[in-house]
Amino acid sequence: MTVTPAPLACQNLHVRYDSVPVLHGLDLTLPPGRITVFVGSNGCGKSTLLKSFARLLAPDQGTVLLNGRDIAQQSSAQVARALSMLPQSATAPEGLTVHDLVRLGRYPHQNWLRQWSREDEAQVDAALHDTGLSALRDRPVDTLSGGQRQRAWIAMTLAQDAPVMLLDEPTTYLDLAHQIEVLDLIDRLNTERGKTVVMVLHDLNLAARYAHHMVALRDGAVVAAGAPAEVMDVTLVKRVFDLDCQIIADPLFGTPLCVPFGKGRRPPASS
Amino acid sequence: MAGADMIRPSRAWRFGAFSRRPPGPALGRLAVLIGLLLVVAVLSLCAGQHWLSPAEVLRALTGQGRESDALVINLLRLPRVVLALLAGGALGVAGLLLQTLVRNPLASPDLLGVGPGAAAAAVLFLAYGAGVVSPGWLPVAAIAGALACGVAVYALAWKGGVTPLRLVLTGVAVASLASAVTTFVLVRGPANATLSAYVWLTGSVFGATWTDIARLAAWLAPLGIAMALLARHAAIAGLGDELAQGLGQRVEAMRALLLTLAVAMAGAAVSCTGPLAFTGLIAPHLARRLIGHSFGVAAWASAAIGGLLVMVADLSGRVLFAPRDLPAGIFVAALGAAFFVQLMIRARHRAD
Repeated sequence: MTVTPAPLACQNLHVRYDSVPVLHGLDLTLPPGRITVFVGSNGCGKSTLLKSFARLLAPDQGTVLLNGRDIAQQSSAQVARALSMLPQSATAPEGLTVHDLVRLGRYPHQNWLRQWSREDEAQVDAALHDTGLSALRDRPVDTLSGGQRQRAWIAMTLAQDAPVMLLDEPTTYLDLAHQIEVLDLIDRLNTERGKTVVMVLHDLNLAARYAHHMVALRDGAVVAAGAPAEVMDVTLVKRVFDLDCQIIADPLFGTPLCVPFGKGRRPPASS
Repeated sequence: MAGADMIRPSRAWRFGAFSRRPPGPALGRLAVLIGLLLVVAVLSLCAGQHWLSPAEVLRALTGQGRESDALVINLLRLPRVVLALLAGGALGVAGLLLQTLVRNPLASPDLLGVGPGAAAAAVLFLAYGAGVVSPGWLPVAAIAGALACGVAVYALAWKGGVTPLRLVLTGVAVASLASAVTTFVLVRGPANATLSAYVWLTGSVFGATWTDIARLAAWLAPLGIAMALLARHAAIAGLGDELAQGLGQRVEAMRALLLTLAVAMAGAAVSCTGPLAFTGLIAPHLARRLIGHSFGVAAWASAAIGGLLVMVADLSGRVLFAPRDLPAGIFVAALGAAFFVQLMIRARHRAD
């Protein structure tokens, strides 16, 4: 495994979304070669932060740094070769096959002359192989199951061959088994391909299990950032989600596991 | 899994720096389509008040047949066939481009006011301009109307950028306004212009001349080349803004460029034939369903099917009601309406 020195960072980042201020002066450095997960309640700005890192949103103030340079000063193709972005609930044009979709990931490496080089073919084949989609390559994307479809999108961003992958809630709309399948895939891409992964996850416990680095947000500001075992405690969950809970060790992985109290329903007195 | 990868033979066209992925089975289907196109083209040359055999057509084309046959073929039938192919092809590609850009299979060039805009300008010209300048300026007026509507839709939809949804809604509004202008002129304009306006509004390739064709071809040639150069960008734009931008596309600039291309193509076609409603809607659908979904393949197929549709419509208009010669637009519209309903029924079943 090679740790790719592709640091993604932001300094004093202020971002508006539809003219409403969402992020208020964030300073973050994301560790290269690791999995970073943004967590927080709905509307806390975690998706906005991810989109700012992908340059889908321009900051009001402050800068996003990609490889140490202001991302706004770099060309679109340059950025696309350095980082790939999978937005939430992407939909493929009707009837497009898995292979045709994954092939589109090569766009930032192509020009009019060179549209299917040996490198393109090798990268697409590897992406299909790594996501377990080789056998489904000729199937239309819209006929796949939810989990397979998400893997096809991940394969497309993988074919983009960028050292940094940004994923916005890659497990939305998936059942639990498929959530684990997709997260295991992302984990493997991190360990085997050395990808720097940055993603937004809704599920705090899955975030704690898969993240090396967790960034907890509330109201557009960072509440805590660090290894889940170090930052995720009862106080943090209370501050971020306004929820009372107990934190126990995940019996399988030893990572923090949040067991929430209900607001109305209480546990029986015996426990 | 790795084994399956190894067995699969690599398919590629590579010559030096040039490389493409061959379309695979779609190529065969495309070839069949082109074959069908040629058959219908020959049939169109045979058919008419005076039927000719394919052999006679061939002799006439090569200048070996009877002089009267050659006259009928070269001056009457061949221009119609060529115009049908060019106009239908351009409308097909423009339709595919728009459906891809707004990510909606029900989009068509008329969405950006191309048809209604051209119609309004043409009717205004027929009512008030025909006596002043040569009628040869009609196509110029029509294409100006189409472009003006396209620009108006784009400008009105602009709000720090143009989203497909705003484009569609603005398009409906501008198209209604253009239609209102057309109706007003038909009702209030000089009576003698009304009939020729109605004929133009139906859309036809009747009375096509080589001058029309030369002008249309001169328009379409650079647009076709631009399309070939931009095809890979169009495929990316079809993924939606966030993905396209994530892949490194300059989304707004590319959208403006591709929309201009679509409006110019459709406008040029409509200016020579009148609005052939639905061609730009149906052709891309059939192309994707029958030939293939990747953009490059679908673009070629849309052009071929668009040409085929207009040619068949023109042929039907000539043959089914002979000796009367009905405008192709009637058949395209009838075909389009049936197709549209079928499309909606299919979509409804899928939703269930």
